[in-house]
Amino acid sequence: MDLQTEYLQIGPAVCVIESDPNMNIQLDKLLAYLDSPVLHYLSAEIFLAECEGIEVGCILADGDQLGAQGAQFIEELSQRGLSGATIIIARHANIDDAVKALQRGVADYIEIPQPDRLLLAKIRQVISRGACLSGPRPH
Amino acid sequence: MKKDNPADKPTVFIVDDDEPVRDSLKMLMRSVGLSAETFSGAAEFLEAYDPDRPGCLVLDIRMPGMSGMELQEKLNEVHAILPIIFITGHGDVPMAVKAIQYGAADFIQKPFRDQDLLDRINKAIEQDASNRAQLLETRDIEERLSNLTPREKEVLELIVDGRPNKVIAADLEVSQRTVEIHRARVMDKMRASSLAHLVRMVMRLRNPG
Amino acid sequence: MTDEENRSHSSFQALLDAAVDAIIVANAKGNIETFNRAAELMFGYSEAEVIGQNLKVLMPEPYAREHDRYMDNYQSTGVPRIIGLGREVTGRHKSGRVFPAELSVGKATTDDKPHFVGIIRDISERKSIEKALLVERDRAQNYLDLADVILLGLDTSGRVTLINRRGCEVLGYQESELLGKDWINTCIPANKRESARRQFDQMIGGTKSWHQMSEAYVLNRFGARRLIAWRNAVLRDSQGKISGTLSSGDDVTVKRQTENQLRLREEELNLIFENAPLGTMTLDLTGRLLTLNNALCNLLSATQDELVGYSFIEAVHKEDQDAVQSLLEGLTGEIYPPATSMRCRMVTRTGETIHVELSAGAVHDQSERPEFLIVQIQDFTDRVRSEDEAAELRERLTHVARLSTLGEMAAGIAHEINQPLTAISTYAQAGKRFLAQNHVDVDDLSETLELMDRQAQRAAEVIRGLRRLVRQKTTHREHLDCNQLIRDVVKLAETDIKSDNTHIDLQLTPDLPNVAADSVQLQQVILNLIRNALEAIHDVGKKGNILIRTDMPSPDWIKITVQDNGPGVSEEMLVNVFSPFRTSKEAGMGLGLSISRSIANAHGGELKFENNSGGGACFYFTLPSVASRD
Repeated sequence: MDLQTEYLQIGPAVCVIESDPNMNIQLDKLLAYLDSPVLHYLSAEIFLAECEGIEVGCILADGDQLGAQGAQFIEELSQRGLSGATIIIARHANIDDAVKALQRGVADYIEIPQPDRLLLAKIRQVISRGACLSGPRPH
Repeated sequence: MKKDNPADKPTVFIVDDDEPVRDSLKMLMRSVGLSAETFSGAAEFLEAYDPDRPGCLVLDIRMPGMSGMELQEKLNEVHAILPIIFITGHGDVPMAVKAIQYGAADFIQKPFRDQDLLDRINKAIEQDASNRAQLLETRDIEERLSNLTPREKEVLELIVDGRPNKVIAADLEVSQRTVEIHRARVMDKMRASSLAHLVRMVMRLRNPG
Repeated sequence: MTDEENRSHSSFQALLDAAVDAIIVANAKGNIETFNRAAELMFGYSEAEVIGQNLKVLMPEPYAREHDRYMDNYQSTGVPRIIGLGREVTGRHKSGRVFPAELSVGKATTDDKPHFVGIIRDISERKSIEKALLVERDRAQNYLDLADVILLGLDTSGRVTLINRRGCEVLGYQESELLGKDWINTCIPANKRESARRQFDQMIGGTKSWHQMSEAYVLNRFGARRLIAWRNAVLRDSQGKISGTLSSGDDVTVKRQTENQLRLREEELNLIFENAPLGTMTLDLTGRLLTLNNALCNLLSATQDELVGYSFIEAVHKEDQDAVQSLLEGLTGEIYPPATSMRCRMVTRTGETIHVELSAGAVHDQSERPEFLIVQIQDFTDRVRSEDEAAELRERLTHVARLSTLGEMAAGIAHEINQPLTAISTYAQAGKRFLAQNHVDVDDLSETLELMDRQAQRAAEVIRGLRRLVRQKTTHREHLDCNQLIRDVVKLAETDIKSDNTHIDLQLTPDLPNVAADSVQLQQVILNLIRNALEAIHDVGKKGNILIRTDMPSPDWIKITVQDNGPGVSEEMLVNVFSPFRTSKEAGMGLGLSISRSIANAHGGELKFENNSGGGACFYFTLPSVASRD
């Protein structure tokens, strides 16, 4: 039994996919306002490798970091039934990426920086739709 | 607007306040054999709107009077399924996100590469066709379902839930033979070729789209 | 005279001559019989001169006369009145000088005749000493009374033996009320009596040192406590035995209170000085640092020791030294200069330059001569920096504001250019497809190319407009005929007008005075207003009528009106119609109106609008005419 799983029994987690330490610090401050446990993943790959069985309330993924792999990642999320719980945040947001992500079922695509209040509201909104149990890796 | 196309021939509805833009778009559609109709404003389109006509809507966001987004809202209110492709000269990310979240099929910035727009239009038209086909199928199934007697509907539910005849008979407190007769009638009325087909049809009603 | 008598006589004579005191023997009548050596010296007469003379010669008046009476009295009564020891009399020297003397008179009887032996001692010296003592005593009493201190004498049992006037004043008693009273019970506060008694006993017992300084409260008659600073001494008699105490006391009640207040004030001032946020220092008149506070140390990154005694000017930035020096010198003048201040730079111990506001004033002594200088230093380096930063921020904000206006404009321009570009590109791509499909109608193609060209022209027009905007500052003003200008513009706008099925009417007042204006900008305003009207009419979708009118509301003004039969300006747009941020027409016409208004304003005119009573909007702008100058 690893810590994360044990921790997760508390409720649906907010999964943060972000490698920038500063962003992680800022997000932690923000997410402290929520009751949800927060799990950090440094990359989309790590998340996909570890997420099975996790009760997911919301996935926050850094769009800038996903880059060209973003589309594929969202596709995988979609297959696992997680895209609806996913919010992409991006400093270098662009319309085309936003449209593609949303077309693939992502819940939101947010240009940052944004006021904390606004970002929190969007995360809460996603969490309130109910948790998704992350399914097994599709073949 | 005169309906000179058969109902199943898709039409690209172009709504843009800029005359040269909508004119050139219409010409582009014509060049690839798509039929197009142009409207200089949202209100004009709404007036001519016919939910049964397939195709897609190419909609400018910024227009005098009713904006493209407002038109989208109005169409959502009447549960229109016509896919919308927004075109805009200077959109931004939140605008695009909002448009898609509110059900738009696509969002593209002016000026665009013709092929890019055409691909999206084609995709939207296909989606529309598929949606309409499903809708038709659903309506068809609903119609067939409406021909079932209450008892037959009961039996259908239990069949779809995977109960064997024996169990159904016990549940309904009828003979197994009676269940078999109901079952045959359900298969017939629903025009189901197999049990799997029957289940698929019922599931479609339960999960439309 | 017998030998024995002779011997006796001569030994008597020797005794007389050896005696220190004058010895005079007189008979009952007072005639001198014997006058010894000391008497000769004392009175200045030789024995021979006075023998047989009456004693009177040795006495000044009125004693001489009195003496006669004594003698008469004695002779008649037989009772000598002056016999006895130590009577003070006054003698008279041969020269007439009188002197005090002590006279003892004895009576001897020889041969039944009474003789009076007088032994006289010149007590001039003693008298003068006594007199001096008396003066001294008076003076002492005076002193006692004049003294600003309390003088208190106590006997060994603690009773008051002496109290001077000051003491009475302080204590509120009469001298007589205090003398003989127990000091401690009378004048020491009850709670202090025991310890006072112990102290007193120690002094009387000799176990305490002679001089004792102490401060203690006394109770005055009215029960008020006075704080007295005592100096105590024990008094000893000739045998060295302690006979009492003598104390002088200073009423320091007020002084102590004042001192306390002063001390508090000083402490306060020190505290303020030390902790003042401003660097504060005192300088002597040569500019050397006397005292300085922590803030100054911090400011100059130096310790007290590194600064005290050094010349202040050395810490001033080289380029500012002259100015600071002359400011400080100005303060040391004889006349009272006001405190002055200046901004200067200082250099810290670590070599950093700081910006300070220096305020200096001189402190003057009682003769109004400057004694030292007080200098305060306020560091505003941060302020300078933040002022710099603020200036930078303002600049940035201005830039941002410009950018956001530019952004607004860019959005408008992007739209204005995007539209024709989109059309051109789409026409071209459609044309290419038709060409590829090989079913090309030349007329169609030609028309398409024409359409594309028009869109290209439209884009170019936007760019030209932009250029005009950019050049707005360097406008070229010329005298223009508004009517002609309008006719020109209408021609330009004709293409748009035709396609929109709208009719333009002109009502131009003939012989209008000219206006001084930039023709391109003016054309743009009119064109914008026409376009705006077209848009408005288009929104309604009916056949449009635009009326352009010129007239003169007053001889100095020209008014150009563009009126349409569109929907008019909606209630919600009324306020914001000229704002580039607000437009009902998302096609960027809002920008056009705001630019138009700027242009009208730049020409000294105004752009306004109103809704027609019969529907539609009416935009008009006014321009000053140049009629008077023509």
